[in-house]
This record gives sequence, C-alpha cells and structure tokens, in this order.
Amino acid sequence: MNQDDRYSLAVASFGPALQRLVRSFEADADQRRDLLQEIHLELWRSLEVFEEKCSLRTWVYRVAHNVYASHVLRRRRLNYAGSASLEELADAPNRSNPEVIAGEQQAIVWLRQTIQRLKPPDAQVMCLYLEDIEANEIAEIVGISPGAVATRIHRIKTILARMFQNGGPDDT
Amino acid sequence: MTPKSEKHDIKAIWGAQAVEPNLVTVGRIRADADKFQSAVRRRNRVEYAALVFVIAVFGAYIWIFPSPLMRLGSLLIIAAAIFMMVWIHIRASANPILSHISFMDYISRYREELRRQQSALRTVWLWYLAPWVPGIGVFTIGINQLLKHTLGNRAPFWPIALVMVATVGVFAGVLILNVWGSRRLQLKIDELDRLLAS
Repeated sequence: MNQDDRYSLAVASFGPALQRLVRSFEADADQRRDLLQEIHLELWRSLEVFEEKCSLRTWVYRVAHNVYASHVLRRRRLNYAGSASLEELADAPNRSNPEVIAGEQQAIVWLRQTIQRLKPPDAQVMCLYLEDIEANEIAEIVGISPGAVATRIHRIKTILARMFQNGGPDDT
Repeated sequence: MTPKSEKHDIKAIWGAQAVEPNLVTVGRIRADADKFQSAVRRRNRVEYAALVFVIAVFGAYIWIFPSPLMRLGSLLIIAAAIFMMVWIHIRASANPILSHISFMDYISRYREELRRQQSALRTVWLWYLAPWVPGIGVFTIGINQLLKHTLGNRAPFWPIALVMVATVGVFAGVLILNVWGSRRLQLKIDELDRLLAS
C-alpha cells in the first residue's frame, strides 16, 4: 500500500472523526476549515513514513492533535491561564440547565464548549473518549500514562453524569 | 423523538454529528504539498540571495577600488557573508518536528525547537551583527583615506558619517526586532512549560 492509498484509507475511516475533532477545538469557521486542511496535508505527508508500528487510528489522531497544537501556537498563546482542568470542572457546582441541554444538538454544543474550556491534554482525552477510544490508545496518542488517562476518564464520566442527570443524555 | 437507548448514550450522539462530505482529494493534497515546498524553497532562496548579492558587490569592489583598505574591507565583508550563510544553514534552519509522535513528546520537541530559535535571536549580535563590524570598519576607513587622497583637506566628512549612522541604525533596528522576537518566543515557551507541568 503506497502513501496515497494509506491516506485514502485513513480519510475513509477517520475523516468524520477529524471533522468532529476540529469542530470541538476551533470555534471560528474559517480557522476550522484551514485547520482541517492542514491536518489532511500533514497526515498525507506523514503517511510516507508510516510503518504500522502503531495502528492507523493512533497515527491519525496523533497527527491531528499535533497539528492543532502548532495551529494554536502560531495563532496566539495557548491561553492556558484561562483554561480549566477536568478536576476543576468535576468539582464545580452544577450550573447546567437540564431543559437547555436535553436535546441532542444542545448536548453537542455543550460538549464542544466544555472541550474548548479545558486545558489541552484534558480536552484531548475528552475528545478521544467521546470517539470511543480505549484508555491505552488515548495514552499512546496524548503521551501520558494509562493511569492518568483512567483518572481523567473517571472525571469526564462524573462531569457528563452530573450535567445530563436530569432528563438529558447520560453516559451509562 | 429520540429513542431512549440513543438518548442515553452520549458517545452515540457525539458520533452521529452530521459531517460534510469529504472534499479533500489526494490530488488536492499533492498540490498543496507542492505549494508548501515551493514556499519553503522561495524563503530559503531569499535568505541566501541577499548574502550572495553582498558577496558579488564587494567582490566587484576588490577589483574596482584601488585603496588597499577598501579591498581588505571588502574581503572581510565577503568572509562575514560566507560565515553567516554557513551559520544560518547549521544553526538557524528550520528543524521539522515529526507530527506522528505523541502529543506530549511533540510539545517537548516544539519547546526545544523554540528554545533553539530563541537562542539564535538572543545571540544575533554575535553571529549576525559582529561579523560585519571589521569589514565595515576597515572599508569605511578606506573610503576616508581615498577621499583625503583625492580631495585633500577639502574631503567631506559626511560620507563617513552617513555610513556610520546607517550602520548603527540598521544594527539597532536588527537588535530591537530580535529582542522583541525573543520575548514573543519566551511567552510561547512559558505556555508550553505550564502545559508540560500539568
């Protein structure tokens, strides 16, 4: 399989996931389009040296997350000071309005807003968790220990359960 | 109405988001890659073309000007330009970071790269400005001697003053720009440090 074939396979398998990822991370529509294009370009480039030492999915997500990091650093500072950790969100008082987030579309909007509020590694873990990726693979993509991923996932579940407990979607 | 099972599975809701049809094709990606490579090559060409221009001009001066000091100054300026080309190639060229490594490793490498670039900016006086000083100094003294030899005591001082003011002005501008650039890089490095510490 050559580079173009691998790229076509990656896009066919994970193209929608890349779109969801970009929508979660980038609120501005123009920047979102540019970022997605940049991820595709870097993915194609990187697949020239793909040797199947990890799964294609892990590879695709690594590239996407790293391109996003570069994109943010180029545009502005990471605005890290204003970001929250999963721990802080999990411990924060529940300010959700169950009627507002009861609908699926509202739930998606709330999830994106929550992800955009998070510090980068936490935001990444939450995105990947929502993509139904196992903890070990998330650890490979983000570069933190499986134990740290498990702790973060536990907090994500706490946040989701609290936010959607009264009539909205739940993570059970 | 949303079925109960789906309503209660946030991952299913997340995965069911509408996505646009994929408009990115391999051909388009190849074209973009070529465009990117062309931009990098163009940038490098500009960097080196300026130095080659300096070498050509002062190489011609060696033949044109009769003053030994002006010839020596030209030689020193050419040596400075060659040194700078080598320095830029070895120390200040862009180091591509592999994009398929884990995020935290990528951030660490990114930080290293920023630190390397910052070091280049911080020491710009040493590698970008100082090498010109001997050549410009000797060349300027050579101009002064040539003027005095040709015009005697009527030789004007303004050409020398002009060279000195222009040199100091350009050097000051370069220093200010690089200090500013170094500070901007430091802000990014600080952000990355906080990220790595989390």
